[in-house]
Amino acid sequence: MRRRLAGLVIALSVAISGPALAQQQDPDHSIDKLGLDPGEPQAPSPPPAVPFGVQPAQSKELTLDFHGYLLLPMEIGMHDRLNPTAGESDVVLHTPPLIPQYPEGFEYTGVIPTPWVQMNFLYGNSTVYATTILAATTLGDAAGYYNTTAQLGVNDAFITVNASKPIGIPFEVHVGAMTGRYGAMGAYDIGRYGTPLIAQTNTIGETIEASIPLGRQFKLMLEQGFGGQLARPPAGLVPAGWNGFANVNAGATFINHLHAGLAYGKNFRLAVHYLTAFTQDDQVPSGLIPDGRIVVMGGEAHLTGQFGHIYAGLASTQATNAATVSGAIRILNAQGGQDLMNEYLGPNSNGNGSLTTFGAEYDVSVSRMIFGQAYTGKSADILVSLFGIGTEVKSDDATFNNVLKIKGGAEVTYDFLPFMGVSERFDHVRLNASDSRQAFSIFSTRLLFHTNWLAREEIALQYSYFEDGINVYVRTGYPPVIDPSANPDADVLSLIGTVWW
Amino acid sequence: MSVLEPPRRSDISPARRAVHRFLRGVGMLVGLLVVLSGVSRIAWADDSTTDAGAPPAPADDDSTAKATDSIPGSPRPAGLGLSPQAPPVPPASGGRAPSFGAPTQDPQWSFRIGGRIAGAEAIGIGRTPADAPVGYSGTALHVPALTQGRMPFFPGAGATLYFQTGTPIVTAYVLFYARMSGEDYNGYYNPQAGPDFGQAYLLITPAPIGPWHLSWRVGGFIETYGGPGQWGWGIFGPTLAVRGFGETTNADVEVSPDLRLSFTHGVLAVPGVPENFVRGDYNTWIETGVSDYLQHAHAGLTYKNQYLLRVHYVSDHSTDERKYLLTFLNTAPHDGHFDTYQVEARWLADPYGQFGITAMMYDFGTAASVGDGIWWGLDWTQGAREMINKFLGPNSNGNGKIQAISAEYDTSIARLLWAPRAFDGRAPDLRLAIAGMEYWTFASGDPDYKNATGYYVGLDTEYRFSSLFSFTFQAFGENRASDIGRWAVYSLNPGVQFHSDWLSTDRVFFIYSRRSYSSAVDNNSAAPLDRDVFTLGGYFTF
Repeated sequence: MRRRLAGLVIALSVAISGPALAQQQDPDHSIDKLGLDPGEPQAPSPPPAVPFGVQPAQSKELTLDFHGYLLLPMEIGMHDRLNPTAGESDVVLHTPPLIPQYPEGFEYTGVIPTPWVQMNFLYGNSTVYATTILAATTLGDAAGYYNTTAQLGVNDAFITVNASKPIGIPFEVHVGAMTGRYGAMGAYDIGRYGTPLIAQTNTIGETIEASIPLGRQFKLMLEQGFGGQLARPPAGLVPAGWNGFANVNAGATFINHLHAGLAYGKNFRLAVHYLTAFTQDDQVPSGLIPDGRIVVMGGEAHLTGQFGHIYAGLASTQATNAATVSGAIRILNAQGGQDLMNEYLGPNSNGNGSLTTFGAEYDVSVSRMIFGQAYTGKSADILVSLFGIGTEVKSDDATFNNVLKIKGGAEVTYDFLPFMGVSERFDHVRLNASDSRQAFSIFSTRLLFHTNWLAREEIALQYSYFEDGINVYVRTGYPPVIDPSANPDADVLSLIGTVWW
Repeated sequence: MSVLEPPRRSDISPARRAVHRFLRGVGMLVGLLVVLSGVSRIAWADDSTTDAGAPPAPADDDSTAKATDSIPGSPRPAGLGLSPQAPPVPPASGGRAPSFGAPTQDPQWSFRIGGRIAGAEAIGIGRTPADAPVGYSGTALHVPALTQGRMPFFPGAGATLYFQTGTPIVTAYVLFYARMSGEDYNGYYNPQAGPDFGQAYLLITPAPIGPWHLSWRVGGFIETYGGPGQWGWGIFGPTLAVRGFGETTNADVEVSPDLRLSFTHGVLAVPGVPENFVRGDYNTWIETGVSDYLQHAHAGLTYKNQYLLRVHYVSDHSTDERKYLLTFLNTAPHDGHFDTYQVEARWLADPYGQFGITAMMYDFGTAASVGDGIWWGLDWTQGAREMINKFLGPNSNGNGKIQAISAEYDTSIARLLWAPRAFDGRAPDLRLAIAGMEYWTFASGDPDYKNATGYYVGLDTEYRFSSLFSFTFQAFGENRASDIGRWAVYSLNPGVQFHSDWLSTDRVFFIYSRRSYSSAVDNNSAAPLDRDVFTLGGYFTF
């Protein structure tokens, strides 16, 4: 009893002296919590983690950064109504336009863009930072709400660790859910056709990048990555709009990829890429499926100088039982093996076949070419671009075997005032090079508005005319499928706003 | 070599073919002129740069020099792939605008975040249903409350975040919504509650040109007009809201120190939903197979910042090409239009208050084929479909005309008593807003609705007796025609509010609502509407 009493006295004295000591310092108005703060993430934090809720001001090094990108097009497609009745006008208006521009098909040129909104939130310091990207392909207020998968939510989230200081060479590690794009044809973008020439990865995993100086000018670049999907569509799921018509027969897919490059200064870069996406899954509802694999090997070169920026690339894609490979890998915008079959290999290929893809892009500023670095972009300029992509398909599906698909184009832009320019673009797409009935051309004339020379925002007013071959079809419906009965739009009027920060 | 077979000539009229040829020719001619004129222009431009005193950048004789700009030919950093931060999009049209992450010399952009966080839990006290099972006892509690008509608060809970970034000339706006659809709170059944991107647009505001102030908004957004209230939308809200992807151009001119004129014009398009999309609860039964095209124009006059006169015109047009679905009125697809003309006047009579009045006419022509490009019409009614259902009738075939008048008077009693001294709001006050709206369906294809009338009345008062507390009292009435009798809802809503200061933008409120319904409204004896509703809620705007 005495021991208990002594213990109680000690405990009380500690309890009383504690608050007394605290009162001698700054008054503490914080409320003691009986549970976790509502802002605490509902996921366990890996130790040692900075406690969530610590104000950035309490940490001198960690900062919040914010970036974003908006691509906001208004597009109106027009065609003549075939059999107008009383009260119906001769011209039909469509938005989105009825044109052969399926984003996941070879036919896509990017001339008539679709909306894309993203906000990047970065938090960290020069050693480690986290990135979260919110994204959408529509706007709920402007377009209504029906396609749940158009609101992508948190599309990417990853952590970047920069270990360059301790290691002594540029060295970065990314861990998380992120995309990798290889074969970007533009100097700072994926190119005029909006697709990386070699491959795109969409995985949760890691990539490690290192750069090793070789003398004064040369640099060896290395990159390795491995990742997979967080989850696969469960057995029993009915493909529907709300789940993006998920392919339940795709297996859990993993990607291992290696890349190496040699750079000379900042003017030349040669790179080779190897990616293998594979699935070895026994949980698909259709029963046992063969292991699927898509292997991509490619090489590319960038050359930059007063003459402009030149890109050339070559890729070989080998698909084996690829129908079971998920959208963790994208080839020419085709998402996974099923899309690869739909768009290139054919439905009877069983996912077996290959693509030999080649592409090139040349961008030049006439002013830079004439005046060199004396031209800083703050006066008139003519920008010329030539670009093209081709892919030869070998497939077990005889209908799709030995098909060469090519598309190419040219763009000339004359920026003559700080706030205005004009641009003309021509694209020709041949879905089967040997069949001109499966070819179409796009003529696009634009007025460009911006707030200054080289301003990051742009508003483009564009008129495009589509000249379609007789066997060029558009897709309609949900999900979009080829509709031979649809009468495509010949004319498309677009107002396109873009900005990034 | 001819690379194309002739297109579907049968689809193209000779006149349009000629137009196509002409436009193509113009396009190619522009391209040729661009090339021919470019070199001389460049030479001139380079001179002008020098004349302007901007020294040319030193020649890049070092291949390892930093990238200075996005112009093709500038040294670029090495890398094996595109950054995971970059968007999956092609470069901007024309390749002129620097792509994401390219080096630029733009001035620093500033960033601001604002928003509104609100939540209200309304509990309706139910009544015993007519077919109550044996053993049924007690009082049913409904969440959400089982009510009709206007509530004295914005129901539900959610947050709106406004992201702004830019310079004084160009600003990007993004609105991001979340309406607490998380399964933690109420189960997950309504994905349209977000979180989602609601609006995003660019606003270009160039330097004034003499007395002219211009702005240009491009993107996807909602714009509202016609509300007679002084602050925000007023009791019965705007009488017009438009939405879609497109642009709005605005011009203000100061004719004199007392007189300012405003002109606005815009074009918007609302993307259609595929005809075979299966509608359902989670997408609010969205209309399929139609897309909307709006043109709207507005002109305004402000005299001495005291008298305002504005006129509004909107034409929402749709060409319906549905193949197998009928319209929601079970009529054949058709071209349709839904137009409105409105005149708005306000008088800011300090210290007596503000009086606003808006007169409007809505014109429908086979409008069952028109979507909801006009996002709000009368009484926040959404799009052509709901306007037809509510005011024209199910047998109207989408044809008819409605005229309406909406007025509101807002005043502050303390401001009146303090006059001529200024009252800045930091003292006890009685705020009063009274509003009324009346409509007349003077033309309708549905005989039951032709010459139908209805009215709305509202009173909103707040007595701020201390910096922390207020008493509120709101009363609303709605009485209009419907195909099942007069649709009438009245409510009396006393409440108390807590706020952190006189002028703070935060509120925590408790409101009791006593409601009465006509038999047309409370027409289901198996599920009688709640007549007593208790609400605890709050909001914070920043």
